[in-house]
Amino acid sequence: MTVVVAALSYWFWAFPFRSALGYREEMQLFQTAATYFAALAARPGGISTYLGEFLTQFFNNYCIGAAVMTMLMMLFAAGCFLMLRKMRRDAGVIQCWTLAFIPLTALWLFMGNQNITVAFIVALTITLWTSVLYLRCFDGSGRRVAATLMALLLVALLYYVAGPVAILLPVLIIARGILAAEKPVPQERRGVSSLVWIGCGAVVWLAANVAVWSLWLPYPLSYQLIGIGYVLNPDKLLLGQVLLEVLLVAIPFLLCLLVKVPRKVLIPALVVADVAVAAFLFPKAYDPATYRLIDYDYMVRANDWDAIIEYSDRHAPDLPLTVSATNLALGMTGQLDARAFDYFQHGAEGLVPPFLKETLSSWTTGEILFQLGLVNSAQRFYFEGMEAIPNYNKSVRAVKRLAETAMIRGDYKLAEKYLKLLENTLFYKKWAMRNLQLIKSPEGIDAHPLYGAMRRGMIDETYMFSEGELDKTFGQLFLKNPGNTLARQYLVVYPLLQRDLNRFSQYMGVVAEKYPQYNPLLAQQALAFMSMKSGQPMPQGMVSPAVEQSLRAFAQAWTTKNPDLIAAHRNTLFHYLLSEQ
Amino acid sequence: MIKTMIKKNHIYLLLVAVLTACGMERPPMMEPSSDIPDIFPDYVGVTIPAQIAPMNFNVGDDDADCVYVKVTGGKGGEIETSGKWADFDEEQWHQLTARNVGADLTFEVSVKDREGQWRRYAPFAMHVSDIPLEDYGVVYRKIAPGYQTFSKTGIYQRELASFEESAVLEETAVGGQCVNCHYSKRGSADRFTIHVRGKNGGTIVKNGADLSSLHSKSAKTNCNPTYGYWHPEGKYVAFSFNKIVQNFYLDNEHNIEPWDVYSDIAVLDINSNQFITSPLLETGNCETTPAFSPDGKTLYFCYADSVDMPGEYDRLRYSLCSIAFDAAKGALGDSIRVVVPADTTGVSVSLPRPSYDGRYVMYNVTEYGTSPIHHADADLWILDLASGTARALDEVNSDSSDAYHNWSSGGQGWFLFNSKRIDGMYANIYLSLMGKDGKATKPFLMPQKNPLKYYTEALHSFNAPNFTADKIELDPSGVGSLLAE
Repeated sequence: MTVVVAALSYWFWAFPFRSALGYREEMQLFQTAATYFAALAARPGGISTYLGEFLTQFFNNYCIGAAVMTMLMMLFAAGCFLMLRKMRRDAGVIQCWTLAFIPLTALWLFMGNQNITVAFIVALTITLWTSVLYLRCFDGSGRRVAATLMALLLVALLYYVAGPVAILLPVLIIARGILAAEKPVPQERRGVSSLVWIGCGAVVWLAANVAVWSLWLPYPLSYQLIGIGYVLNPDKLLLGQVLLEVLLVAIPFLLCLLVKVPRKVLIPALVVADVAVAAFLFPKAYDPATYRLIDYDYMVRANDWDAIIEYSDRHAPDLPLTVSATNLALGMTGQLDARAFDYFQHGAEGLVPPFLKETLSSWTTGEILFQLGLVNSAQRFYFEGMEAIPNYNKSVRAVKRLAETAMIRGDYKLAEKYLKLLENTLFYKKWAMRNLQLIKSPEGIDAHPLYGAMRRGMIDETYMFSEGELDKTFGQLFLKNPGNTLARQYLVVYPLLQRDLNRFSQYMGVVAEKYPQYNPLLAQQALAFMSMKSGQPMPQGMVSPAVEQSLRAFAQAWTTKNPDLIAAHRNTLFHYLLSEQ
Repeated sequence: MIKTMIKKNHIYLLLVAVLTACGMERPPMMEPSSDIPDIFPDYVGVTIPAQIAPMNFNVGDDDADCVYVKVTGGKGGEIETSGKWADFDEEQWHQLTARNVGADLTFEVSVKDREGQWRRYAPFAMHVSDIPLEDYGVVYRKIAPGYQTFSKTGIYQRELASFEESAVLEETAVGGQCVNCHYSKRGSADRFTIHVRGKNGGTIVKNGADLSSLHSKSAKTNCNPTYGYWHPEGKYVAFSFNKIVQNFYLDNEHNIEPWDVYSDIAVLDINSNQFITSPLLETGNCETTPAFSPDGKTLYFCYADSVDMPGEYDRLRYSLCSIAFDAAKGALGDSIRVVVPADTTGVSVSLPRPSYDGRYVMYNVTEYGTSPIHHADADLWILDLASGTARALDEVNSDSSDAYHNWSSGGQGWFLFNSKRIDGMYANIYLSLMGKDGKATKPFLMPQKNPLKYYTEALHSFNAPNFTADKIELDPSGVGSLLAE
């Protein structure tokens, strides 16, 4: 069963939820530098955060990342198993393993919140294993003084290393004391009451530790109690975190209740219950709408345009981020001016979403601007996205892009700064070193297939970014570099999304000066629509028979006012121009 | 017994080996080349106060296998160091600088490359000024040089005699609200204001033992206090209330253009918590960045006629103006004097900072606008009040933004400023001395233990720096509670 669960975990993180790994990886800039460790080690739980971030960097490669995640989850489950074995020595191995999967399932569900960090799993696992180790050494040993001193020492140390989940150690000691008392064994009597007292004393000692730390920690006490590094935004306590910790304490008591139930009944019943609860809670834990955003972000980051289009074919994009990512993918594959209305559209903001103080949205917009060639604006949005990470982390993804924008702009000293930071990472080191060489010879950047081309296509004139006048910017980009096919498509589609056919005609005129033969499907649909609306004949050779036929069919459906007939033309420009006016 | 001795000897040998490995590595005797070493930061020929922390530096990039530096004082004394970079012992450094006040320190640098070959460079000097810098340190806000979103911000202080930095107030202590500029009464650690922006924001006013929170906005503009300056008597603080918006450039040369939709100036009476206003400073145009003269009788500020923004962003030009202030009556004067007019100079003035000896006003000049930190052309200018002449401080200015200057509280000529000269994006603190001849010395970057590593890894700007005469003691939890009330 353990192997099956491990295999399931690996599959889960490597395939359907690999984007969750990518999300966690891009929300940090883990540095191998000693100063980075020192900064984290200065706060309780900082060591777990450091270890968590160290492991999270492997999420850069989803194959390794899934293995790391699986290893962590199985270590957590093993800790639960050993803890249960310590709590009830007469319980069977299979019983304990089956019960250990209950908190594992809870953790798995809790990790559905994309903002829970790996540091939380690390902290929990360290605490569990420390508890097991403590009980192994001192449970029933009769060495009360040593047991007390060690409990106090471990609680203080654990709070420093793991943060507030350290509370589990004294509570589990108390739990063991209570459980042992339920099954009186003369030799253990003294140890039983001792453990309860030791646990209670350790709770008080932990509270004292928290109080002392709070004197100089620059965080509110609430952050200290929630755990500074467990979630990206530790401003409120999550119910899942509380339930998981309560479950870890309750599960030994459950074991005691179930220990006499025949295995043949107990094991299948527990497995079925576990799977049923997981299946019931899964959609709530792994919110499909949130994960669609994360999936899009993952694919945008990878510039996997075909995957985005394929994904949008399966899950209709309907949010600004998903719509704009789909439009970008269509543009990058040269299909935007033909297929834009195959997908939901809701105005020109679907091309470049307006600024939000939010990470994923900013980065998606930043990527659109970067691909368009608006290097300065891309720099801004990547910077904004990085600064919006709620736990104040920096981001490898953003810093990498910032290094690139600096290189393209010719800010070599700034690029060097970012590249040197990436040189202190595991997965970006080689890339950084390569580019550190590149910036030593600016002519190398001019000759670079991406950076050089982008540099040559940049806008020269000094003017301000205006979200309401992006069409003019697309026009500037196109005029500067007529080979910028993305800018050309955005220029043509922008007025169509605004239902402004006059402006569309103007922009087509601009494009026609450079590309007289340019006549994409949407242009034909727009021309046909304008002709029909004005009662003019279709312009000769400009509209294909198929488009003409399509328009006639749409007009016929529209006049019937039959929603089903009209809906059949949902994916056309005609439908967009009329249906939402 | 013998076995024990052998073991002990092994340990001793090991210790000796370790100590030798960690010891001073000196180059062989050789003639120096004619080249001065390429060091970071560029400390060649700078003038330093005797109180400054060791002026550690890196040579070239960090590829050097070993750097050996010998420093000899003109009045005697010698220290040396070797390692990956020049990292001087703090105690030895201070002994040397104290002994050489008014004299030069000569630095002899030798570098061993990865092949084990030594190279000795031509010596260079730093001058230890006989003018002391008596402030405890500098205080600044650390903030990412971003656009509209900032992650962690905080006010920090750094002891100038050492590398010790401590937090005055971090935003994590006030529930993630943005912690804003710190303004003190002539570097006082006891009298200062800090703005906190957010849901429970306000202006923290520390006035001696009293700590209070000011939630006032200007009556006319409904804006929060922004730029502040304490009156020398400590009874008043002048604030501008700015409605700031930002625009972003599309082209390669610029990034951000922050500007005021409108801004007014009023003077806060600390004791009564009332604002002293004047229609001359609430005109509906832009009045900003106030600063009192050292005698407290004049309030300098910058003024611009409103233009159609953002379209006419390059026509927004501020003049340096002044208005009289009567501290006894708590009243502003009834006329404005234009000190540096924008219309005739064709430039925009910001951030006036009168020197505490009353001789100069240092200010910023840009082609247009009100935010010099975002303008690469921003330079420091100095106005000699005795002669009425103004000039660019070319001896300290760079091709990048040079701004946010302030004078040391001792009033003997030391000043600091922000500069983005390292990479064009991140602002760092430089110090310089305005000599009696009216010339400033070559500025030096605030020293760090390992400067190249520090300034490379830092992803923040040192924003709005100022001197602090003593170490600031502020209870962050007290501030948090105060704001939550």
